[in-house]
Amino acid sequence: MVRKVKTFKGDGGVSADTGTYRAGELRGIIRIDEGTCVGCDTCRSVCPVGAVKGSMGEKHSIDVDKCVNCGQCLLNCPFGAIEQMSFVDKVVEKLKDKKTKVVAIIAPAVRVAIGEEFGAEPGTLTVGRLWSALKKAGFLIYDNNFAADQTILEEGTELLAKVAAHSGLKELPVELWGKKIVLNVEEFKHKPLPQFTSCCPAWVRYAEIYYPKILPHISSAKSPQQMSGPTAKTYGAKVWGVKPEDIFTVGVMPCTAKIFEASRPEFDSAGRYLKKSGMRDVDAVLTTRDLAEVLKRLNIDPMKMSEEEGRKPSLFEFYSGGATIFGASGGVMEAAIRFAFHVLSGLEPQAMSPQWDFEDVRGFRHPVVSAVIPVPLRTEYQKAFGAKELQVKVCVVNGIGPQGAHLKPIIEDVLAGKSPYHFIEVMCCPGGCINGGGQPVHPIELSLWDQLFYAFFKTN
Amino acid sequence: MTIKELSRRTFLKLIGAGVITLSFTRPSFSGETATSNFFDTKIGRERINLIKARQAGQYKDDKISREKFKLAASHENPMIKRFYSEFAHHPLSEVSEALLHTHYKARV
Repeated sequence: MVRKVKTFKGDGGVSADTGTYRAGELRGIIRIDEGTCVGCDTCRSVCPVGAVKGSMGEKHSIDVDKCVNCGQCLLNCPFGAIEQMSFVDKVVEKLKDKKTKVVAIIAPAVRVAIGEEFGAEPGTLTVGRLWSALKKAGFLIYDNNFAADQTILEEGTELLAKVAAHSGLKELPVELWGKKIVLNVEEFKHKPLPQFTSCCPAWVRYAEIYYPKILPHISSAKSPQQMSGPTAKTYGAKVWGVKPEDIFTVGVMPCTAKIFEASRPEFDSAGRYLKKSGMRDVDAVLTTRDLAEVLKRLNIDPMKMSEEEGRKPSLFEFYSGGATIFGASGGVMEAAIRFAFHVLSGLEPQAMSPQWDFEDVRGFRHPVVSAVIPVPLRTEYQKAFGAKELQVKVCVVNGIGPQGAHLKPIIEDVLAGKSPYHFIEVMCCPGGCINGGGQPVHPIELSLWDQLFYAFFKTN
Repeated sequence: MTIKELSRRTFLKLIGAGVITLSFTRPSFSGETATSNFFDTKIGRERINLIKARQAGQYKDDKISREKFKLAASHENPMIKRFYSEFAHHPLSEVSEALLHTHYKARV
């Protein structure tokens, strides 16, 4: 059984730059209810950035300027004392407005967890029935897995361009869908390797606050959520035949940091592209738990629908295997490798061939995973790189770790110019997005001894 | 010094420290060791099992995407092909730069 997480209504962002927040950004997405907190210190032990104030026995609170909004404290609190900002009311209101086309952007990790809110076993795959449920609720579907595929095309090509530029090439021919494009890669000479992934908003905020020197290493490709919003309002509007200003985009995320990400001031690119002011790329973000709440309010239970019948993809529902594994640590890396492998070797993926599984990069128990992937080069590249094979060196950080324990040594190596890698994936939460701060919460069962102890704590 | 002379906070701290050493509410993951993300406690094991189950779900979906829909890698997605041919032209194009790329800002 999952536990209900207390929420509070989201408001507007801060009106001017305040601490580590820029004008317009949401501040204080996660807060501790002091009335429920017993000062057990569990949250402090799991915080990646030491943002929890108060020592054992004291009421705890969050230093929002340090906080990266990952929500690990919320998942791990044995007392349910930690609350999350929610936009459920706003989304329900928009669904009722017939003029508005509400678009659901469903993240990969939501489909393996939302069932838990409706009584299913953890890990139950919910794709077709989730689409059906959302359509019944009035949403248009823009699966974030489609955006994950966009991310791979952009971020993967960016990586190849950097690798080529740093190998001394001026141009990189890329053959995609039988068509050849020649990329001028000279400008990428000035963009440093290794490249870091940019999908995880808690990691991006972590870098911006604690390691600004690493920022040039982070891929310029937006996260899938932030690719979805502007694509839906530009290309999507054309495909669906609706007006961009009638579209209301809703990120459905396993993540609390995504709520913050959508409020970053620069994420109004669709508005800038269409020359319409005041348009946001992503209008609201719901966590996995929030979406369950929306469906419950509308009396819709996805688990009572048919998975098979619902899963007949069209338009923005198409996605690859590489995209769906974004939700697990190592998934972004594996998807990028599948793409790079295709471009560099010229080989087409064989759907079930183990050659297209790159299990070495899958993070699970280990906080840091690294691998060297030998990629055979097509003839054209053999000449350019002067080798038959390219040894692609990659690293996956599976959780920043308490006080940055797992990530810091990797970053220090990069800053010291000692890092051997081409590409580094960072996910703030251990396990990746599947264990994100927006996922269904399974309460930690306290022993009788625990309960007595904390009851004593509270009454004293 | 009797217990009465201790301040409430110090008393709770002492109890707390003792209790943590007795390991009854231990955090579910650990930064102390480079080889493991989680403590081998009841809570740690529960967390691992949950992650394992959800991870299995993701790789099951990978299998379905490959077996049934024949889509292993991102460039094979038919809608991706359409998106680039009708709209964005190619990765890192001007349209891509405008809509799909961003920049970062130090927050200090």
